[in-house]
Amino acid sequence: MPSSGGAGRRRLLPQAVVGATVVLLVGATAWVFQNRSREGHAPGWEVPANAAGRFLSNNAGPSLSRSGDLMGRLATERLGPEELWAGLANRGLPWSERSVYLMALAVAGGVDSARRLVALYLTEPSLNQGAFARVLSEAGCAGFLRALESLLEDGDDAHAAAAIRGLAGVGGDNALQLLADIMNDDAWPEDLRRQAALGLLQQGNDRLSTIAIHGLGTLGDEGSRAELSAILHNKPTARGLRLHAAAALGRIGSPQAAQDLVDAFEEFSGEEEQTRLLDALGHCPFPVVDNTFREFLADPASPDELRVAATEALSNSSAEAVPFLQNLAASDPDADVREMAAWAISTREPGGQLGPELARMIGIEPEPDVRRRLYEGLLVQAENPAESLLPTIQAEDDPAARIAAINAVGDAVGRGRPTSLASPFDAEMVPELETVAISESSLNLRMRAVFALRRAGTPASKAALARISSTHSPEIAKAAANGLLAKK
Amino acid sequence: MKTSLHIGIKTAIAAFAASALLTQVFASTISWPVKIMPPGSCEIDWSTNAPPQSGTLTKSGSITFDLGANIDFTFRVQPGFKLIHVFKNLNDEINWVLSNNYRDSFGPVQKSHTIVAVCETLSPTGTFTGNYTDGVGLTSVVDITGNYSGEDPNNPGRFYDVDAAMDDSGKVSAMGTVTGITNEQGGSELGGQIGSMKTVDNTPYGSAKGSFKGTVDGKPVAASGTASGDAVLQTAVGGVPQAEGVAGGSATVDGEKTSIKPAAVEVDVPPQHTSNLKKGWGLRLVLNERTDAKGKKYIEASGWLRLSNGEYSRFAPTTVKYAGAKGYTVSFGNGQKRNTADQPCYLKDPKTGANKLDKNGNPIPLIDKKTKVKLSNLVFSGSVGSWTANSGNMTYQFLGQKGKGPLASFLQ
Repeated sequence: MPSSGGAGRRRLLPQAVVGATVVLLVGATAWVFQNRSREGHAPGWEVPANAAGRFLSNNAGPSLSRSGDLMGRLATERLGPEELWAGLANRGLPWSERSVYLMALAVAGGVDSARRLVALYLTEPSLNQGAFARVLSEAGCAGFLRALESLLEDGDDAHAAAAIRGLAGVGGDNALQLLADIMNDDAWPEDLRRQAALGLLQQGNDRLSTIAIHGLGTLGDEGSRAELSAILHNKPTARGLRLHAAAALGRIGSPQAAQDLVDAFEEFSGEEEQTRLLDALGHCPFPVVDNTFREFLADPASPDELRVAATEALSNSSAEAVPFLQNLAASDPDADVREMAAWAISTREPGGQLGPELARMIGIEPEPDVRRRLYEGLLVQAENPAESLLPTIQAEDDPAARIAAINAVGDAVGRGRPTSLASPFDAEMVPELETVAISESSLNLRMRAVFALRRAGTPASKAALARISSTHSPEIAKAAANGLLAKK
Repeated sequence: MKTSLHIGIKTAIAAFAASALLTQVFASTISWPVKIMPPGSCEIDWSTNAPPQSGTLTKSGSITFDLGANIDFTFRVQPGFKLIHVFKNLNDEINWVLSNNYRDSFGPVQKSHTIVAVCETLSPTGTFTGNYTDGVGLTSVVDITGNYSGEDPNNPGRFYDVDAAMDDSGKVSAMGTVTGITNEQGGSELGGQIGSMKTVDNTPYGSAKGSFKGTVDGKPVAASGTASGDAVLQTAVGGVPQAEGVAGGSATVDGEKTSIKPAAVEVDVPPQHTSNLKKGWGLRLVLNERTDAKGKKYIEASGWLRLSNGEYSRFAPTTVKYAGAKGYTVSFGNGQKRNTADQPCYLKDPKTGANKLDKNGNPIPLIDKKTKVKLSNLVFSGSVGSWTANSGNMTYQFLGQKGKGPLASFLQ
């Protein structure tokens, strides 16, 4: 049985990947999977003096009075430890009374035999185990947590499952961190990882529930899908958690998970909720959701905003979505949908085969915002035929589309495309980019002007970057300086 | 319009007077019904000399006093209203010159009369500005354009320098370098479209996605990954800002494939990066009273939105109507783009760089199709020249994000 050091195992990820993903994360500097160190455990099985009172107040309910009476009687009668053990072991008594014997044992310092206690714990019905552990936790028996850890480390799967139920009952930072570690550690059997996630869910804490939901999505097995589906469709559950469950189902991406998401459309009427359902569906492999998206986008009753959201969602789908996106970008009557489809294409992996087709679409696309995205799409194509677009690019009068177009030219120049491009780039576009970079335009546009110079990497563009690097705008100056340091 | 208004008023007066007549006290006293239209628009202080008495009518009612007594009225108009008529009976308009504290006296009274005070709702005008700050109750809209430099905390010695640009749709492009990493061509420049910023649960939410092919420390690597999370940073123990989200990816290093399914992560965000989170945006609403060619007055709303990236979207004037308890509803969109210095942006002639002109010789403004603002149920209190937004809601959409929230504490 592996140890529960899940966070530590994450570091097996090649450091190279960690470095490469830095570029993706931008604001988040690295993939830091937190390795929270376990705090030291309190020695022994000491029980705070007020444990009994806390136990009674924490167990307020119909049985409180009776439990209180029993606690009082046990205290009065001064039962010895063995008599308390006998009461605890008496399965003929309801759990509410047995739990009082357990607490009394703890208060009397009679739970110093961890082996005996754990043996009894393991024979408890699984439904009682959480409560059993909670009583000891309330009694301050920190050693029981250690006993549960031992079960995890040395026991079989059944013992580990019992330990997980106990950890969920104990709660508290240490126990919950252990559950999170088990949930995230793929060395543990899926069933136990799922139980650990459910243990986090049962805490009733939104943040822990969110972590658990993501964990179930990571597990991705049928059992986890079923749990997520139940959360998604359970109306009393908080809306935010249900939508987290939707996102997790999208990451699972199985046909049944996709069907769960489609079914949920009936249950969420708001635009934002439906947008998030679409986003979740978009994470599924395209063959799984192909028909759903085709029908939704073809349905005249689909609201415009949701059609755009559906198209954007497909940026996360599999490569099979690209032809569909290309068709949308070329022919959808709504310019916003065409723009989003083109953008989704631009986020695909480098090496696409759409270069000539995107160039053809740019030539006939009337909307500058769509052309902007199509130009951006050229950057990830194996072939960037910017030279064939030069007249179109030179005629672009919308600033954002024009800068995107010049970035496409810069990319082609940087990739060593025909030298016929380098000359107009250096002569006409470099001065324009420099002017934009130091203008009062938005920082975004100025930054992208610098990007175009960096992409091209010609002597003229480097000279421009050198001049820009002394501009008064610190962000632009830094971006230009970074471009000068980069090796082509 | 005025005719129909008068007909409405007179109908109401007639009904009120008729009901008053039915309850007329035929004795040595007499009752004057007093009607306030619309309710709550004015309060009427009154006094009589016989018997000596006084009071205030806050709503329609009647005043009973001795035959032959004198009665005095002061009409105190409430904020947001203007007194436009005071009638004695149906057709007897007392005075065309009315003020907010109009006073009139009658007597010695011999007959029953019905006094009717008619006010109109004022349409608030003025210039109102709101600047987003945390805690104002509105959704934050962020711009993350900027530089991100530092050392990978997991890989000492691996430094990164990434520059990011977020556009008017919240789409983010980035270029950068990371120590030891080269692109497919052997260069150190990395980057591309890396994701977008949108709003999820009233919170700015970033999604990053990208692929990489090249070398890391000399080893061939193909990697792809996704990450998403709130742009609202949590402060963890020790004061280190953290972003919470979901991240995952896969990589092939030296032919060996490794993958991580997306899972919840907490990522330390170096303090120098948090300053890139620009979220200062603002709104100006200008409400002006105008007069059309036919002499009819109307209210015109215009304004601008200053985006978190410093650019402006200036909205063309649109006619609005103040509808009492429902206030104003104002929809802005298709504003004219203005740069960070609030100068208008025009289409440029690509060959000359000069402004492109329309057929009338005017420069063609750049239209911001991505920014939309709607103010609804914007109700003011106060009076002419000193209106205060009392209630109302705002929804907005810009930089690829959406927001909403109350206007009362925002617009000043």
